[in-house]
Parts: sequence; C-alpha cells; structure tokens
Amino acid sequence: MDSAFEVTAEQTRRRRAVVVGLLVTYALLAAICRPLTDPALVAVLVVGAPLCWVGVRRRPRRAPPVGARSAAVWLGLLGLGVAVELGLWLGPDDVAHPTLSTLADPVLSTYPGRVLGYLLWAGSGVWLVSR
Amino acid sequence: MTPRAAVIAGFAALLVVAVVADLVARRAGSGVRPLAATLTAALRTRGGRVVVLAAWLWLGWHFLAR
Repeated sequence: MDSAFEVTAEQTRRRRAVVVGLLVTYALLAAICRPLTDPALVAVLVVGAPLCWVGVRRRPRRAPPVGARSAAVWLGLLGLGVAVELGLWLGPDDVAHPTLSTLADPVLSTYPGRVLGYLLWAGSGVWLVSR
Repeated sequence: MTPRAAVIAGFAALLVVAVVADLVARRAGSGVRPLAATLTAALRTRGGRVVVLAAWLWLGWHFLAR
C-alpha cells in the first residue's frame, strides 16, 4: 500500500515538474513577442484557446458550495476593481489617470516583465483548468 | 497627492484588502471562504467555467497581446 502511494506521489511530482517546465518554456518563448503585435496575439491564443476548451469540457472536481457571504465578499471586491478600472478607462485619457493596464505597460514592455506576465497568466490558467 | 498617486494608492489598497480578506478567510471558523475555494466552487458548473475562463482569456489578451 505504501509503495503504491509512493509511486502515485512520484508520478504527481513528475507531472508537476513537466507542467512547470512547459510553463517556463512557454513564457520564455511567448515573451519574445512584443505587445500590440500579431505574434503576441498568437502567443496568447495558442495556450488560451486550448485551455479554455479543455476547462469548459472537463468535469470539475467535486467542491463544496460556498456561502452567500463568501460570494458577496469576492464579487464585491471584483466589482469595486472593475468599477474603478471602468471609471478610469471612460475618464480622461492622460497620465494622471492611468488604468491598471497603463500602469503595467512599463513592466510588460521589458522581456523579464513579459516572462513574469506570461508565467502568471498561463500558470493561473492551468490552475483554473485543474480545479 | 497627485491624481496619479491617488489612483495607484487606490489599486494598492484594493490589493491589500483582497490579501487581508483571503488571510482572514483562511482562519479557522471564518464565515468567508478563501478566494481559491470560492473560484473552485464557481467552476463547479459549466456556466461558471465559461465565465471564469472567458475572464481569464480576456485578461491575457488585454495585458499581453492588445
């Protein structure tokens, strides 16, 4: 029983190492593409579309429902963030009122910043699909 | 405080509130579930998965490709 468990744990570790390796390779390659270009769009879609397809089709793990209070807290914070972002986006288009993406632009205009951005984005996608 | 500094402070405050809320939610006996558990619950239905994954795809497009 113990050895069977060890094999499963070892397989899980290997699978995680492969996924992390693929994520890092993807981020290093995708970050070569500068934002606002067709290659960048392809870099997002080449991972985004398959993950969305798999995520929508697969049967998720059984998870206990969360209460209304949890939904209210997290949806409230999300709504507040979206309202602030929308207000800035619809407001004056100048450096004094930057949106979140405008603030992120200096970071994402560098290669290391984009590697980090692609890692966070693709990693969160894999996490969502594995739920 | 300049308007730009106020905007940055506002985003930072939102992030801090979210982190604190998640830490509080992880304490035993909390009536609020952590963000990860809430997202996992939202992914239980196909409609929830479509909404969450569409938002995730849009974030990637908006920040990395647009």
